[in-house]
Amino acid sequence: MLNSRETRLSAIRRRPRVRSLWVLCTTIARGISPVLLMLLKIGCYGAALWAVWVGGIRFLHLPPYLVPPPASVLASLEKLPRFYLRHAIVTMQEAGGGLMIGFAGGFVCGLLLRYGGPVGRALNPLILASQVFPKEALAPILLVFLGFGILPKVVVAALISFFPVAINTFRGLQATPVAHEQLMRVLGANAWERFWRCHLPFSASHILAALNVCATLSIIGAVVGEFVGSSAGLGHVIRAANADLGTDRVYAALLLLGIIGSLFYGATLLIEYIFFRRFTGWK
Amino acid sequence: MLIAEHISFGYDGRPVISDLSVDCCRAEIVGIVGASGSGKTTVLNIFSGNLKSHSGSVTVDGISPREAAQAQKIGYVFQSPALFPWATVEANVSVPLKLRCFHHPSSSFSGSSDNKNSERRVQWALELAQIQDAAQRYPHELSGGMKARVALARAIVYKPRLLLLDESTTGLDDIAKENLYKVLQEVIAETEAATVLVGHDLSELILLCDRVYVLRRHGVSSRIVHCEMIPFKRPRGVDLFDDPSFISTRKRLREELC
Repeated sequence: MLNSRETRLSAIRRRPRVRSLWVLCTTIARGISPVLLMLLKIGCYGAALWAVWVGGIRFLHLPPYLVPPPASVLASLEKLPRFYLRHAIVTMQEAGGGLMIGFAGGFVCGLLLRYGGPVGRALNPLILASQVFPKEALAPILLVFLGFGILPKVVVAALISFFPVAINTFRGLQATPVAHEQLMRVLGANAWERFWRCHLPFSASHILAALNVCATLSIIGAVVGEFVGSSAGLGHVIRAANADLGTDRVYAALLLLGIIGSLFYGATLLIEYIFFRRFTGWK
Repeated sequence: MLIAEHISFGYDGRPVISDLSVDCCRAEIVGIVGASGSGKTTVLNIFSGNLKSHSGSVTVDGISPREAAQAQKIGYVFQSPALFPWATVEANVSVPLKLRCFHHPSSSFSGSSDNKNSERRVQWALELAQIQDAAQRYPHELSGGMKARVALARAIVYKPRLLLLDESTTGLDDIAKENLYKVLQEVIAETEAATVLVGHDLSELILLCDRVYVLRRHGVSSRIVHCEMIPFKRPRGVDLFDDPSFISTRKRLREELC
């Protein structure tokens, strides 16, 4: 059986036109197979979630005001697509802005901790002190200072994202092996060259890991800010829907938050893959 | 080329080396042999400018080791190859040429600093270290012996006046070691760098060096207790290991070491 298949394939490969078509098809298949595989995985997970959800409602006799069926959640999304899109965009803006500001601030603080000398040493207890109380508790105060707009949510998201980046940058910049450090000195490299050609590449995996974590943390920050006081955003949708027992809208907003979180996380992975693969992929 | 006179060094007040004097001239290979923990790597770190001796003086080409390092006059091959894992062999070897000090007027490299010249220099170093076939490979794709040769190519690419080798054959099998011995002798003959080699393998040091210093623990710190001239003609191969004169030299150095 196998031999006859092999014979058929070798016959195909012998004919030049058929052979080039074969090469083209296999190349395309090889290119799209990871994408197809990923879509298949997502489909499988979605189907499993759907089955657990529907099965849970049926067998545990959960009332719709507690857990609405997935069909009604999707119907809610289908009925008000512009409404959800508008609020999702607001949450994405808040989380995205917070992530960028938090990452930039955390990176600069990490640099100061590593290279700042007395400034870095003075900064260290302040950074630690800023982490001992929950940033979520700051949201009402920020609201008083900065109003009900997008800004206080961005600040909460930035505060939550800041610490992991600062600490990972600091630790990453310390992670250069001693031999490489000595090598750069023997080669006559100045402080900038040691940082740019040695410290930063060795710390890339630490910094990017912090970025991956912050991609999801920033969404938590934005939603917490929206819970405290807002007129837009998915946090606001959840709060408003909760007040009138519109659990289908709560679940729809949660579903969208999950999708946004996955998109943010995927975006950081994509950034890592495109720009920093050679610094993080060698392990 | 390298003159170290009466140098002493210690860590946190604990003396490691005392009254050490070593010299090495152009195209000469000097070995320092000592037991583990006798301070061999510390000596090389003082010669390279990574550490500063507490007393005595060290000059490389008439200037302090730190200034010599700034002018890329010192090449250092560490015990571990210390390659950049994200860069190809070629990119690793070209790292010294991308640093600003390479373009400094006091650098050992006297040519112009354009890219083509750098590329030629990298090719020259790769060929001399016999690693040109692996130029586009990454460090994790190389064997231990190949990594050692890449580290050697990187150390010679800017033609240093002083070459420091810290147990560069550690962890290599016999074939890789033999190959590296051959390459090392060719490299030093070509570059005419003053070379200081530290290790604990007596046969290796006798094979490669013109002079071997014995570093031995004397009380709390280590000092040079003996200097042996090695008279064998170059090029030297591993067949020298069976030579009666080689065996007697080895025996004499071993007695000094213990």
